[in-house]
Amino acid sequence: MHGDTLKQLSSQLAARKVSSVELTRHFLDRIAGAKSLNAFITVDPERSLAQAKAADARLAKGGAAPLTGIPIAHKDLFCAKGWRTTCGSRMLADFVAPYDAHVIEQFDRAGAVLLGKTNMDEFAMGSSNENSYFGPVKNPWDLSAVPGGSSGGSAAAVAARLCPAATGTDTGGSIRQPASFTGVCGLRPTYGRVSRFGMVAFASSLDQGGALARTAEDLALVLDVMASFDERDSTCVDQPKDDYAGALADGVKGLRIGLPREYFSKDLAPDVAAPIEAAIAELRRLGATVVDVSLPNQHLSVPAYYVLAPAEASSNLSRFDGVRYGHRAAEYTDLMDMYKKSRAEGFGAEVKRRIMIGTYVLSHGYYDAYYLQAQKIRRLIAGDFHAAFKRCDLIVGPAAPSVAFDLGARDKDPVQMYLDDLYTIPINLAGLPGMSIPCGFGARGRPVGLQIVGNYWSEARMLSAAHAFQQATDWHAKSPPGFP
Amino acid sequence: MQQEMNAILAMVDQMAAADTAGIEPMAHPQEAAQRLREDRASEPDQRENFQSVAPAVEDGLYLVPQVIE
Repeated sequence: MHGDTLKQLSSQLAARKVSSVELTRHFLDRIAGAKSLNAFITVDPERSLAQAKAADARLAKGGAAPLTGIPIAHKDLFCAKGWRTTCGSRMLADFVAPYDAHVIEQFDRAGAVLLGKTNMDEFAMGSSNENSYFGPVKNPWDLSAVPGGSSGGSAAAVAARLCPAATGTDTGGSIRQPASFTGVCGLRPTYGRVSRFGMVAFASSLDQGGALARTAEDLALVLDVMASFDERDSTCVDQPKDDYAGALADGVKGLRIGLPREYFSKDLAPDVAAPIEAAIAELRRLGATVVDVSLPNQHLSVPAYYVLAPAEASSNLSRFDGVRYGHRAAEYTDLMDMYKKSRAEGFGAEVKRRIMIGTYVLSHGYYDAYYLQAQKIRRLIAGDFHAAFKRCDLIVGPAAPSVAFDLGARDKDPVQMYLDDLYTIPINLAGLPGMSIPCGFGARGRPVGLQIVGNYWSEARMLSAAHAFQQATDWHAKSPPGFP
Repeated sequence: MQQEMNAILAMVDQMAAADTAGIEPMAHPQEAAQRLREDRASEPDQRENFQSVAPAVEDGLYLVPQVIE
């Protein structure tokens, strides 16, 4: 059952060959058998099975949607009423969400089953999932490697076949980089495509919800559920959505694929470059043409990002004061002492670093040199993409400069970890949609992901290109040997 | 911690070399303006629900250490 794609499971449910309760039990058993990965923070079989029972009733009555009865795991920053929603932090370790995120409402309407909440870097800050209060997640392909982050639990869960699909969020690469590291497909939609209502905020002008699954076809089905206008998120854009599943057959024939020369420099490890180049050759074989493009300001992305994201985070995270929800210190002398102790105990080292950086760059006397300069650079970077998309339909390159690194290898050097996000961050700054799909293996048999970037609102085209690639190759069908 | 913060700021300082004269700061990727809505109450009262997750409440109020002597 777990070897099947979401699309296949959906057909089996519709034909009543399997029930949602059976499917949910099966995946819950697999989660229980894969505890060593630490991919989940919370599972609640009773709740999940009650939803599965309701889905089976809907399937029996007719009127089921493609996701009715499908178990879906959610990154633990989507509030789901009655579910513990920790954001990977001690601050929210006991927080039971009193309401549903818009994304959760959408999956409920579709009749999907909430299978559990996945592990993540604390407040989505990290690229290795080692910053979780609940411990690191391990990469199913090699338990000594990180799964990437911050949606590391979702990526590991999909890779190990613990669920057919999972949600994630992507502020600087947090869906695409873990997808690349674990050999699964991950899609970050256009900024404004998916409502951020009920999604714990990190950097509001960059955060976007998306999903991880095994195939582009499955991502199309999931995006169709997630993408829906919601006025409760003031930056959600009322843009009609495409028929993502219907457009899959469009293929890549005649599409112009842009290769940014800055993405193929000395920063790219040779064992990653080889599968990426083979994938580009495959896209050409399928009828795409290749053009050279340039993103001359790309090197400024990481510096600008580490001003903008911490600045927004320092503001967003000021809400955690131990008064209305979240951790409150056990002992304190007065109100200020209560704030200080609650925050000092509740936040981990990386979150504290970013709050302090953010506070510093927003402070009087530094605002113009840091925050405004970063916002200007953001426009230059977006402009690079706008110019490139005059010459091509999609941009293709690596999602990460290397395969997954070893657990503990980078945790002493935050700047090096930041710099590794050089291929994903520019897309967030520009607000563009991006995805990563598996395209081979590098050193020590660790997966490599091909990044596909589209222009605004072109998710359907990206998915159809990825689907065409997956019809001609079988990288997406490989599964980690330790999780048969 | 101090060493790490200095390393991060040194990395961020690469921005200073970029020529951004005449460039408008960009706050929203789609240049979208904030939507306005009619000024009317749209949310139901969920005080009890929301206060159920608070560390300390009494009579519908959040409790904090005494601030005013």
